[in-house]
Amino acid sequence: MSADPTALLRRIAQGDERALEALYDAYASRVYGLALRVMGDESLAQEVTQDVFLKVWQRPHTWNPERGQFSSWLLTVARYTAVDRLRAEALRSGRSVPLLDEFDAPTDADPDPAEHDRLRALLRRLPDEQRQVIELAYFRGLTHSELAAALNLPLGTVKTRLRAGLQKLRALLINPNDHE
Amino acid sequence: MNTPDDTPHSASPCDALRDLLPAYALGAVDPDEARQVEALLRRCPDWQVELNAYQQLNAELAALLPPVAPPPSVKAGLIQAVTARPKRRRWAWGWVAAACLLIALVVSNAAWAAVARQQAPLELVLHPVQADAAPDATGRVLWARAEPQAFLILSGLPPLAPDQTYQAWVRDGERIVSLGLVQPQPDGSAALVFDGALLAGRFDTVGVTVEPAGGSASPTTPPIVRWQGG
Repeated sequence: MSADPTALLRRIAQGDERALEALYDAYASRVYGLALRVMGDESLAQEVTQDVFLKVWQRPHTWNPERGQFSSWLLTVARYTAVDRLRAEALRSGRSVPLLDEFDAPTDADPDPAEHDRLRALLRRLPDEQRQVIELAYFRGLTHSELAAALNLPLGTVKTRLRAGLQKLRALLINPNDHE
Repeated sequence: MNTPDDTPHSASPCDALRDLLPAYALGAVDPDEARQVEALLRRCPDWQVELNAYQQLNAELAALLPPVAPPPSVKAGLIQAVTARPKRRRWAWGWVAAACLLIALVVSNAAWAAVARQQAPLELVLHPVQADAAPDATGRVLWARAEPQAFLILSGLPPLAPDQTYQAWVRDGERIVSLGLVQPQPDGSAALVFDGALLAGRFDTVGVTVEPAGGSASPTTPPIVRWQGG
C-alpha cells in the first residue's frame, strides 16, 4: 500500500473525491474480505464496504495517527460496521444472529483455508472452547452476557475463555512458533 | 476476578483492567463493564498501552483474512454517493427551501429560523429499504446542534391501515429509542419534531417502521427507510 493515508485523508477532508478513490483502491479488498467473512453474503458485504468508505468520507478526522496505523483503524471500523449490520439484519428478519457452525466447513470462496486464510489457521491453534467464544465475539459481535446466553454457559466461564483466548492469540502473534 | 477496592493495602483497583481490557478492546464487554473499564482507565492511565495492544491485536487478526477484490459496482456506487450529494458540511439550500413549506406546518417559524441560521447542522439522508413495499420512501433528519428540536421529514410513504402508524427510531447497537409516531399526509409526506438530544450521543441507525396504532416499545417490523452510519 503505497498510498499515504495521511495525505489522502487531508484531501478527503477538503472534499477531493479522487483522494477517496485512491484510498478505496488501496484498502477496499481488505475491507471487503473482512465484510464477506462477517456477513457471509456478497451483496450485504458490498453495502458494508461502501458504508465503511462513506464513513471515512464523512468523518475523515476520526482516525488518530498517534493511536495506530490507518489500516488498523479502518479494519476496526469495518468490523464494527459489519457486525452492526449483521445484527440489524437479524433484527429485521426476526431471526437471531447465526452462530458459527459454518466456520468449520471450508467454503467455495476459500478453497484452501490452510494456505489462504491465516486467521483460520491461527484460531485453530486455540482450544476449541476458546476459539468458539472468540469467533462469536469477533465475527458476530456478541458480548459477555450474550455469549453466556447463546452457549448456555455461566457468565464467568465465557469471560475466562474469552480473556484466555485473546491473551493466547496475542502471544501467538508475537511468537508465531510458540507451542502450547 | 478482582474487584476494585479502595483500601490502600489491597491489590490496585487497576488490576481489574487485566481481566476486562482484552474483551473491552474487542467490544465484547457488556455496557456496565464498559463503564467500569472507562472509569478505571481514567484512574489508571498506564493501562492505555495495554488497551492499544489489544486493539492492535484485533486489527492484526483482520489483516490475516484473505483480501477479496469487491466488484467494480461497489466503487461506482461509492463515487456516485459522494458526488450525488454535497458533503454534510455544506447546506443543501435548494432542498431546504422545498422542505420549509412542509416544516412550517408543524413548527414555528422561529424554530425553523434557528435551524437555518446554523452553519453546520446534522443532516442525515434516509434511503428506502423495501424496494417492493415502499420504493419511493425517503427521508431526512435535520438538526442544528445548538437547538433543542430536531426534524425528520419524510416523503413517499405508502398509506397505512387505520390500525397502523409509522414510528421513527434511533439505534445505537442494542439500544433503540423511539423518536415518535409519524402520521403521513394524503400525499405521503410527513414531518416529525423530536428532541435533538436524542441525536447528541452515539448512534448508528435512524429508521422508520410500520407499527400498530399507538406505537411500539421497540420496532416490530423491518424499516421502510433507514440511515446507517457510524
